[in-house]
Amino acid sequence: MPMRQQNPQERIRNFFEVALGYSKEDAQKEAERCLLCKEPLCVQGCPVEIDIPAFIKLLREDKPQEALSKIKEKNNLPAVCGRVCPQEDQCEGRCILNKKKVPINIGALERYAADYGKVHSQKGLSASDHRLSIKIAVVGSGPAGLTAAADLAKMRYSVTLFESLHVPGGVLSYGIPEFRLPKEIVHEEIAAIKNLGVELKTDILIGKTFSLVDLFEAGYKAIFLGLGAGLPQFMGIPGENLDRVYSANEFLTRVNLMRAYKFPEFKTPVSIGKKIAVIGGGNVAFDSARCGARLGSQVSIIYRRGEAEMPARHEEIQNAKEEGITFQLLTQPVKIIGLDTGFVSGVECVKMQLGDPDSSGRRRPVAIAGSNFVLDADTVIIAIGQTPNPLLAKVTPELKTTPRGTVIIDKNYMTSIHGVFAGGDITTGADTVIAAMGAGKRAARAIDHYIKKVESRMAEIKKTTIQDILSLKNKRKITMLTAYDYPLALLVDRAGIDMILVGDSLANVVLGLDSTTKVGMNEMLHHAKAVSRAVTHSLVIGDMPYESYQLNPGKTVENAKRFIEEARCDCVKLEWFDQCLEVTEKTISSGVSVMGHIGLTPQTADKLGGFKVQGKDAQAAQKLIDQARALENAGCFAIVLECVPDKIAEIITQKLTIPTIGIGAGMSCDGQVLVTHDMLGLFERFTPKFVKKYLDLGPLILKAIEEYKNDVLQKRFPGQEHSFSIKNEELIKLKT
Amino acid sequence: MFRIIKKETMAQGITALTITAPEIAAKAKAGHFVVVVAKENSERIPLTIANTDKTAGDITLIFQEVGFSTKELGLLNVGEHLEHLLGPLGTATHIENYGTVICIGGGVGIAEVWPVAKAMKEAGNRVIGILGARSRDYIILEDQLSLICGELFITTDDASYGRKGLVTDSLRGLLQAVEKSTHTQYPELVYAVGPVVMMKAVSELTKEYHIKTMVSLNPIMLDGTGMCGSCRVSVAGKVMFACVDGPEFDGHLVDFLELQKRLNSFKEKEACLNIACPRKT
Repeated sequence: MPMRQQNPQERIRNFFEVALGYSKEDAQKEAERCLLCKEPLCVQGCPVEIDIPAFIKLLREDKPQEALSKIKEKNNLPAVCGRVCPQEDQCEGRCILNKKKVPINIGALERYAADYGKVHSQKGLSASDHRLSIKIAVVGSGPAGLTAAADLAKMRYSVTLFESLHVPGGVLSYGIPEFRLPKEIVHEEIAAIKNLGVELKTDILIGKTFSLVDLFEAGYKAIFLGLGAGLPQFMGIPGENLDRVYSANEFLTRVNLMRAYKFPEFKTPVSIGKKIAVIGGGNVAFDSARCGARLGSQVSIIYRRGEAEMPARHEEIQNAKEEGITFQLLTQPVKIIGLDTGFVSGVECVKMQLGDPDSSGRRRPVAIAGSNFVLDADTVIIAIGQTPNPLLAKVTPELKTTPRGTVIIDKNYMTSIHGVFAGGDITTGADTVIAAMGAGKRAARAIDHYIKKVESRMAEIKKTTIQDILSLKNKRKITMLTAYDYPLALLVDRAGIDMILVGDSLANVVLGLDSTTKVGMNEMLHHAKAVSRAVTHSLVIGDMPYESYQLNPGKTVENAKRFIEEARCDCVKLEWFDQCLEVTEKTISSGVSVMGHIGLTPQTADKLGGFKVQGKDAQAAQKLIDQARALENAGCFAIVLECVPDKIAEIITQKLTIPTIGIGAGMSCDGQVLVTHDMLGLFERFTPKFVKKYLDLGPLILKAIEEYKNDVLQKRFPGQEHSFSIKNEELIKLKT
Repeated sequence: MFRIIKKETMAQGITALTITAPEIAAKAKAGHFVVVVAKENSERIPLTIANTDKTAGDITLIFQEVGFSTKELGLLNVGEHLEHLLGPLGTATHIENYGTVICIGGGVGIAEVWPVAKAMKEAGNRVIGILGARSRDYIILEDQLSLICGELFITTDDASYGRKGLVTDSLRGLLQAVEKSTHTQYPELVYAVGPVVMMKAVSELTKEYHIKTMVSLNPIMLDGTGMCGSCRVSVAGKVMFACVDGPEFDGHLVDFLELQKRLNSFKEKEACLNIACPRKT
């Protein structure tokens, strides 16, 4: 059942709403017709997945308030969607009754529930409810932004909605006219979203007032871009800059947003003549044409294809016809003609005929040679489409766009910038309100997932303490790797490894020396500093080199403190030697935490009879157990067991209350350590049995370097993309 | 809401308002503008930022009360608020050490030249100023610009101050002097803001001398963010949006005639507003 409408003679003289909505009786009657399908097709047609039969059933039971709540579970803008959705292509198009061409008027029912419900207070979350401290910025307050903001607020995030214009709503405010979507309705819907706790900030242009970096620095954890498609397209024909030639955006913004139809009460003018030519066949063209008619002009729509091919909603085409708007179909403007004063006087057009279908499946219009004629017009409105506003992308080169200017997103709505999401017309080009809302909804979900992932990672990147390591014993295995420089330490840290050892293996794997005893304090500190700079999560252990304590036991404390104070390490590691207990105790009582190291201790390998497994007989094993116990008593927080039979390592691990970290000591240890260069395949000279190679980097790097060498030799590198340019005109100046 | 903290009458009908707007002040550079909505039902009008105090977080707008909206703005007083303020907008002036820069301001355009002259000076340029107005009373910011400009020339239409004539007379004099001299050089850049006819005349003159010339255009704007195309201008035959691509363009490439005509788009409507104008001037 159609809605009642203002009659055309009447409505052509005002900006009041054309469709008058259902009465209670109308709504009940229409709701009664619904078959309440068990597997409703209408829901499949709804981009925001409203439970349509459920809300219709509530209307049937005369519960419009509950019906609205049901709709609002999925749709944050029901009064808007009830009015501007292309239901014929969506829910109503799928309705089983549409097979007999009598679909349920779902749009009118949604509108009825929304209009009835708005006079009643809204239940659910409110601004005063507890919110998460996680801030999310939503940029653009059109359909996509409003939906994303509302959904994120419902998930209890602290949402700020930024709008560049002085009025929120995006295309709902500046684009769609009052008679199709009253601004009061828009403002009420936005007020309801603000009631969810969304903070609205108008008069802020992201890209100018604040950059995306500013937003992250202000503590926003994610950003949603719902900027729409706001850049008007022109045809590139002569005369487009004449006076009274408008983009549809300009014309509609003047009339709708700035209320030029109430000039001079509202101070923004719109200057039109008696005959308006609107170019284009979409909804924007029809909105412009019908505004023009209401401002008192004769309006013709110029469209290059036929009426059947017009992308505008059927209902709007009918409304326009009733309002006396005429169509110049199969007509293409080629030139706008003007007077000497600069004002428009006509549009030169050429007649078209439809040829073969193009990529969109519509038949391509082809100009008929010699069919040119001049259409009398003193005002021209160009409504041939909009693309996304390039401003933000221009000042944010990291934000990748397509050649059409749309922002590129992945399947999770994330742009090329980590933590920056986008949806709606900015990613698709001009589309419907409801499509943008659907995107806003799905992007909000994606942002929620992203935030949860980041939050759990944040817990992971908390700085590890000695206490954390102690508490891990018997809970989970402890991970430890070496690092000697900034780039590798960054990666080890990022991977969430518990401890990073700046080992004296520096001597062999980085400095090319043949013994760990040959590396000194200065080299160790130099590298430990680099590692500390990179680390935010891992516990950093400075490995005391041979000269710093075994050679000079009296200097142990002084050198240990240098690791802490100069290189910002968290603790030090000492290998077992004859005065080990004494210096360990001294070091610990000076306030520096110590990790012990027994078994194969490379600094004293000669005394141990070379690099071989220790504790292989009962006596030697007992010695290791005693050493471990003594170190625990001395106050070590953990002990490395190197090259120890797995069973012995197991016994030690069981006997100690502090964690054991094994290297070549079997699987029973509380944790494991490897030399990172060994496990990455970066150190080719020697690989002990206990190393597992996770990667064979050496040959890969070699191959890359050889390729580079050949590229340079054969002049394949650098190419144009690696070079900097200078403008030709500057070059010419230089030559002269 | 943006509070007016200072109001000054610079000349008859030329007003300076200083407004608290820390977020805009933080980002503002020479050449930027803002869009102002004075009251709830007012127009959105673009105004160049004449001065910025980043520490205090305020900006100063200097405007001539010519139409309804600027007159309405001029009626606001210290302690009152602007309903809306958006910015900073536009592409900032490209500042570099060119060598010698001649900055030319005509009428209220002097206020728009001021921040550019300052920035050019700070970048190490030798700045020469030429200010022009109807008469002595309309020459604004002379003290401020004399501190910046090594040489400052003034022209008035009625000979009440400085040289009688137009800014182009002074400019021609300077260029001819270089032509005859053996040791002086042409300026590397001429920067001009003022009425369209003035910018056109300056650009035509400097074209003869092949001197790079930048002009700051003042077409009608609506949103100021590249959304409506009201401010489109032809530059080297290409359509540009002054609000985002400009408002500064190469004066040798601008279609001034078209700009002048487009400024007349709403003249008829404007007249109708002025009848209802609060000050009825």
